[in-house]
Amino acid sequence: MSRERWLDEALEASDRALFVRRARALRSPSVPELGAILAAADSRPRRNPGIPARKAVLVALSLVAAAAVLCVVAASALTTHERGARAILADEGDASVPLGAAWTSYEPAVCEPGAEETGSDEACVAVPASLLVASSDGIPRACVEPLEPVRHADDFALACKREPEMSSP
Amino acid sequence: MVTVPPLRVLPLPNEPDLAEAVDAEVDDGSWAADAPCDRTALAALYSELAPAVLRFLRDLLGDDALAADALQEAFVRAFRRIETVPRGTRLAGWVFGIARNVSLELRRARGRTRRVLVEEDARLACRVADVRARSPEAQLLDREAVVVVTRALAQLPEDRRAALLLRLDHGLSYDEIARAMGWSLAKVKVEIFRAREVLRATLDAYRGGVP
Repeated sequence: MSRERWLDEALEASDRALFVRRARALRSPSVPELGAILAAADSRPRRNPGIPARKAVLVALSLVAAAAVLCVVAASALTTHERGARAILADEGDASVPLGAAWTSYEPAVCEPGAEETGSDEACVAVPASLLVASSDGIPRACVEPLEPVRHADDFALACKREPEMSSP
Repeated sequence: MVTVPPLRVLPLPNEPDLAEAVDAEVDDGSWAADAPCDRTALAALYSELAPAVLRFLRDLLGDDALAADALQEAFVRAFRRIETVPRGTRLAGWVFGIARNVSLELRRARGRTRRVLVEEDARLACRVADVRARSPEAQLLDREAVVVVTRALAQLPEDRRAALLLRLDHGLSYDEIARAMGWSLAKVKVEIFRAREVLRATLDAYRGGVP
């Protein structure tokens, strides 16, 4: 036994001695008869041995709480999707365009093809159809001039590219 | 290499019976239930266990009548659930756990948020047993223990007080206290360590204040 442990046990024994003295000093309390306790235990109705009511309530509350959490998560996801749809970025374009010049966000969002502007506080910005690039996530995107949509030869996907300048001889 | 023998109690002058009392409190094998846990086993322990549980409840609730109600409720629950206790469970720890839960329910039911264990020394003096058969010195020491322990307990929050009582007054192991309180073993040790610090500080303050 280490010295620390021995010391700790000695201190605890000293503390415990206080409680022993106290227990001895206090009047011994009178307790109910065992028969009365047993009779009271037998007289109580027994619960259903299946799932206790308390557990059933807890399970039901847990299910309700889980459903509420799912609703909140779904609503949050929808809101995020709508917000994301409003921040429309043009494609980066080719490497010759300085970084930053090609990245431009439309706020409000680019309108769906065929949609009309609805006034000064329009919900979307009309962009010429020639600049629209169909994206895989269904959100309309548009190239920022001077970039233009160019279809890739391999997968026919549209991307924004700078129109190659005509070189003069 | 010098080996130090384990010390169970600190020897006190003119108190040869105290060491036996401490050992009896801590190592009483009758509370260890290797036998099947059934009503017979619990009934056999009742006369021995009930006074200790009542003292525990009185220390937690600070009210004799409330503690008596809690004791009856705790044992009624214990007898109703005794068949669910796994074989080999030490019944004392299990019953103390039930008693502690009952005390919490009673406190909540009565809306008692403040600490209830505040007793005047005068009231304590009335509760001290008739100890005329004991020596005046022993009576004085016992009385001192009542005052010091009660003052220390009054400074402790309910959880910590319960853990300290289960350890020092009722001799439960740390594992049993962890099960009874629903705590981790580490938390039990920390709580009891802090409670013992308060106890020793109270004892020091008491001795410093005695002329």
